[in-house]
Amino acid sequence: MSRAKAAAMLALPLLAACSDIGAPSRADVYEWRAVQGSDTLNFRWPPSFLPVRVWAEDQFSLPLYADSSIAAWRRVFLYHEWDAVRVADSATADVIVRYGPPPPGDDILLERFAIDSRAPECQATTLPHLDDVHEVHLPMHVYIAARFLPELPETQACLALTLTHEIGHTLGIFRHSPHPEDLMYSNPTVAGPSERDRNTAEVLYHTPANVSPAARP
Amino acid sequence: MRKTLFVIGWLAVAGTQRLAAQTDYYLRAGATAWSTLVGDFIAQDVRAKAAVAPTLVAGLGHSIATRYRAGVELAAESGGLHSEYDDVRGDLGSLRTASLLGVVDGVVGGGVRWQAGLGFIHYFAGDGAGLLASATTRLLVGGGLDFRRPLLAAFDLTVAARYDFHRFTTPALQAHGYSGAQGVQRVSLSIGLARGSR
Repeated sequence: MSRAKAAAMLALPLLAACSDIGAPSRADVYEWRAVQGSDTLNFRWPPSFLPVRVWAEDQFSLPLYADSSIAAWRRVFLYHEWDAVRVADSATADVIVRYGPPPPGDDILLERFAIDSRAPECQATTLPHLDDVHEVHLPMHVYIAARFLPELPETQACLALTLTHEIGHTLGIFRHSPHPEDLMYSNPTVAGPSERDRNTAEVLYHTPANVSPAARP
Repeated sequence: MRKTLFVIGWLAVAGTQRLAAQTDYYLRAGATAWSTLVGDFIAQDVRAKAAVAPTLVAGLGHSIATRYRAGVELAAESGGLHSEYDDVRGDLGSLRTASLLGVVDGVVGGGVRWQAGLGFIHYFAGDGAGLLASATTRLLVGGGLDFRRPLLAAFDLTVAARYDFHRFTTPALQAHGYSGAQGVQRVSLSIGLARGSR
C-alpha cells in the first residue's frame, strides 16, 4: 500500500469525525411559567433533589398510575435533567398524590377539570405551595378524584392520564398548553407527553430557575 | 478404510500444528477514552460523555504472508455515561459496549506492528430510560500499533495503542428527532500477553 493511500485511509475517518449529530429544533414550546403579580416564576428541581420522591395514596390504582406517569416523563429527558421515584412513606415524599378534592387554600391552583364529553370522569389539582420568597414548600400536593364511579374503566383511564398531566405540573410546567394535542392542555385527551410537551420540559430544565424547592422536611 | 482414516488424521494433526505455529493469540487489559457521544444545545450547551472505561481485548491473527497477518479482535468496555450542562453532571447510568473487528496487521520493525480493522461496535441497552434505552450496533473502523517483546518462554509482553471511529446514534435519539449521527473517536491503551508466532 502506498503512503498516499495509507494517509487517505487515515484521513477519511478523521474528516468524518468532524460531523455532529443533528439536534432537533425545540422552538415549538408553550409558556410554562406561572405569573404571580409581576413575577414570572420558573421552577425546576435542582439535581441535588433528584430523584424526586413521589408518594401516592393506595386508592384506585394511584400508585400504579404514579409509576407509569413517572416513566412517561422520565422518557422525555435524555440527559437525566429530571427523575423521580415512588416512595412508600409519605413523610419522606417531595410530592404527595391523594385521592379526593383539594382543601381550600390560597395557593396557585394548577387544575384540570375534565368536563368535556371525551373525558368527564375525573379532575385534579396540583398545589405547589409557593411562598413569597420564591421557594416551593415541600411536599407538593396533587389531589385527584373521580367525578363519577371510580371503578369504571373510563374513569381509571382518566385517572391515569390526569395523573401524568399533574406530574407534569410538579416537574415545573406551571401553565397549561393552549394546544389540545398536548398532555399539558387544560383538558388533555392524549395519554403521554407530546413532542411539544417534551420540547417545553427540556427547555424548562435548561433555563435558569428563579424558584427553588425549600429544604426537604 | 483404516489407511484413509490414518491419512486424514495425520493431515489434521499436521495442519493443526502448522496452523498453531502460524497463529497468534493475545489477551490485553487497558482503558478506552471517548470523544463526546452527543452534542446538543437546549438553551445551553449539553453534552453526553462516556467516562474512561476499563477495557478487555482478546484476539487472534494468522499469517497470510511473510510480513502480514489477518485475524479478529474482540474488545469489551464497561464504564459510566454522564451528561454535562451548566455546572451539572447528570448520571446517565452505565455504558457497556463490545466490538468485533476483522483486522490485518504488518511489520513496522523493532517489535512494532501496525494494525487496521473494520467491524462493528455494539452498545448494550442501559439501565432505564435515556440515550441507551435500547441497544444499538454501529459500523466501526480502527487501527493502531502493537509493540511486542519476549517475556517468558511461551509468552510475549504486548502493548497496544488503538484509535477507532464510528458514528453514534440510538433509537432513543432518533425518536427524539435527532438526525444523522455523531462522529465518535476512541483511543485506547492496553497491555497483556501474546502467544504464538514470533
